[in-house]
Amino acid sequence: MSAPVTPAAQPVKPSLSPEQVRDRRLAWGLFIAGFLSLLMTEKPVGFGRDESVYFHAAESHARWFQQLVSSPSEAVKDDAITRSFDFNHEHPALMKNLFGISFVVFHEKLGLLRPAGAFRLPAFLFAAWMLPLIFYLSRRLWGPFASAAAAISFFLVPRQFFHSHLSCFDVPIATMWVLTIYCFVEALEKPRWWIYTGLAFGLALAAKHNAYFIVVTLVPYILVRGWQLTRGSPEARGLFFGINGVFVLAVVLYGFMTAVVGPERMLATFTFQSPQLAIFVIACSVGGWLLWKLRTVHLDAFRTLAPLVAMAILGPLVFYAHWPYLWHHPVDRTAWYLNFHLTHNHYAWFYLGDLLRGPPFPLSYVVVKTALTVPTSIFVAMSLGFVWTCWRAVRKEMTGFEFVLVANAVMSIALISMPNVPHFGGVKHWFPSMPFLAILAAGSLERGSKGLSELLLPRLKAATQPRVLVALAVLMGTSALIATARVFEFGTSAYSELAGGLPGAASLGMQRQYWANNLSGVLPWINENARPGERIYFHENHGGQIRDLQRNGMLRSDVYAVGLEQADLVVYQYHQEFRDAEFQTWQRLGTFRPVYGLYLDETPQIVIYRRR
Amino acid sequence: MIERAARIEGVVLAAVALGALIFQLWLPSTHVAESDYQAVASVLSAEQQPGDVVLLVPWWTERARIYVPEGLPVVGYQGSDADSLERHPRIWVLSEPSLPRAGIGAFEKAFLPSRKELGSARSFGNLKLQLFENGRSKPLVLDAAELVAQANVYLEGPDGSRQDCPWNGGGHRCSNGKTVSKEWRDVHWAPWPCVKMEAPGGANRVVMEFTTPAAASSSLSAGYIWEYGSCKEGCTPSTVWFEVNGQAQSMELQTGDELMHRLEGPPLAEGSRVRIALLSQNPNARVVCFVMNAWGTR
Repeated sequence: MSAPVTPAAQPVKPSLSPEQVRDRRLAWGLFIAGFLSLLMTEKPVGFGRDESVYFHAAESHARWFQQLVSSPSEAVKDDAITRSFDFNHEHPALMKNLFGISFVVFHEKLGLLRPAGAFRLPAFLFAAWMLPLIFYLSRRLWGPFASAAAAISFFLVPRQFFHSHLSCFDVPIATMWVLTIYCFVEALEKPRWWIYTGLAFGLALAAKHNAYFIVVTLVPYILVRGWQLTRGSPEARGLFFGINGVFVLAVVLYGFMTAVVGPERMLATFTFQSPQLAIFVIACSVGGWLLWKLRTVHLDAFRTLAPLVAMAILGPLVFYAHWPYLWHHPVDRTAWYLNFHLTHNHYAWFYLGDLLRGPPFPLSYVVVKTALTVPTSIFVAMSLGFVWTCWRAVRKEMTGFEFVLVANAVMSIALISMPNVPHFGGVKHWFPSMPFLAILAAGSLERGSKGLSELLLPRLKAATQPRVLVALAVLMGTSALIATARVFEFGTSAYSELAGGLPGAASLGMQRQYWANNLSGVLPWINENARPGERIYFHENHGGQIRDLQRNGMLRSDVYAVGLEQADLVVYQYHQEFRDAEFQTWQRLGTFRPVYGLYLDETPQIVIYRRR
Repeated sequence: MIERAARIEGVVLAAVALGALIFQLWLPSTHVAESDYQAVASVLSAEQQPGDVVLLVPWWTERARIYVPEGLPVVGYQGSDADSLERHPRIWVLSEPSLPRAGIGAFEKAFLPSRKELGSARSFGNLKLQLFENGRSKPLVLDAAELVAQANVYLEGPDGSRQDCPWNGGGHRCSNGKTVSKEWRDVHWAPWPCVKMEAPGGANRVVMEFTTPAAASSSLSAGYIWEYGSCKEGCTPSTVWFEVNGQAQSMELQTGDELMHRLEGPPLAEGSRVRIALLSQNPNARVVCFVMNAWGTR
């Protein structure tokens, strides 16, 4: 009898521990629940000014992808690309590509969703993806229930839940930001994740321009950690200097060339066969080669530096590859795109009774606005979590991971707080800070529940820490859930308990709304009461929004959008900075008396006047 | 110490969460039922007198406009608590004191001086209605905005030469394409029944001239309309004239100034000739709201 044949030794994938299995299930549960919550609440959410622009751009991108399938050689020509991608080229294409493809597949081909639902589907996926990312990052510090609470809390902020519905970029960039940090943290411990970090950073660049600041949050940590790790190894230290030196030298060379030939000539001559591209290629090649050598010398140092090098190399490559608009004119079109955001307009914005028209803006604006819009139970936990971490830093107890968390929690808030940075857009521009603040809040929840449990246990045996944690999380989340349920579709109007809700914010003189999506609240009345063929002035709504409302069956197709002078019905959006439009409506229509309106907690949002 | 801090943290989180929950559950109880607005409207319809006005508290509670009887003015704008409402001898204060941050104390501080309650306050659900006698009112003899159609409007050169701006049914259209007309416009968030004038530029003035009845006093208020006031670059200051029977006084409206400014004028004899005028070197964004009134004695 022959001996049993044993197969050749195979690398065995380590099986997951029960705890990891539970975490994986929780993460999937969060993702699925998050996705479904968005899908099921999508219809009442109106179309913001920008969203309608992105619908249009996304459809245009989708047509190009269809052409790419049907006649690829024609599609890759510059004129075909320009035709499809020139509109709204102030934002990169990743999300618009996905919105457009989803529209073609789920609306045009399968007929499963209305046009807006199909456009928005990728946005739901990106927003839902945020929840497991928060959960897993939080799990590095806190227990599963506190981490799940942190993830859920992202959707319990009414403005965040509202924005998660939109075919826009503010939540996707926040997700890509968190993904990049997640990959980076994993990369410090595991192989291959440095590549994923570079790819994630590329996707973040492809989502929105905020992504450039991710690097700022990581570089100090990477340099300090790299310096500390290579302390005992001269060879590794040399490579550490070499890698950093190569990229620093590249930056210096670019600066020198710009100073010598001027920025315009620098850009004009940045072609395929140019010194400018050569510098990038050489820096990436030498940096990559040194990095590979470091891998054999000091694995931990390699894992620290490799994500940054991957971000430097893969980030621009993904950015270039994802956006056909750059394929034939990479430099000048990228330069235009960056310049657009560096010189962005300032829009009028109401804040504590004053109209902010331009810089310098108040330094406290972002913090105050956050305090007045994030549900107070969550905001207080975030604040306590932040203070706790700072206290640990003072006591020199802060870990590297905590440093990364705090740096990312602070980055977007600090950036927008700068007095010269445009301040419009409510809270969406510092969304990338919010997931990290949610993780800090989870720490507060965990510590607080432990403290409460210690207080209660002598009198109440059932008050074990896990039970107290769940009870406290439910208590904290319920008020936020009620607020979100009541106003999520009018998310730009939402204010917290600290503000006194919407009425309190109105008395404080805060911006009532923006983006003009609250129009959805009066559409049923208009559909019921507008006369056949009625001429309506939709104040602050552009034609694209009206087109999309009619296309999605939300507004009767027989009414016409006209200017104030021709209108018989005026739909005024209450903005303090646009009161003149309401007063002119009185003048033109000969009445001071509205016929209907959207009043949220008594605050006027949309006011409708009819010609006498 | 850490244990103590954790206990405090837990108590703070629980207390804040409980407070937030109570707030969210309470907030809908501050809403106003439509029937309450209708009850208020019935009272106003039955008891209003000519010259009455409704003042909203807090100032932004404009849902009331839907229900207030047509013809009864409603005032509510940021800062309206302190409005003297000088055209109105009686003020109906319609307030929602149960709203968060209703600011009733601050309102009373700004509003109550020179006002006297008439009768007692009436409540309709969350609405409170109280009539006041307005001690700051004066009988209005003249509102220049009502005289625009009959007035003489022209562009006047530095040498005194005039170019007529003929009436076209809606306003006086001048040769530079700009119109002088009566319009409701915004000056620093408040609605004003304006004579809207636009500076012609250079050394030219746009002038509105009319005759008045006798009056104990007169005033001219002027300010840039809406966002034109915020213009700082590519704009020049404006000069505003208020001339009665050849006696002129003037004031400068600086660039970036978004407020309404007022000149007190002399008593007017029957048939007084009044000229109001505007000049700005650069006409860009120099659109001004003029409110010229003449007052009787109380």
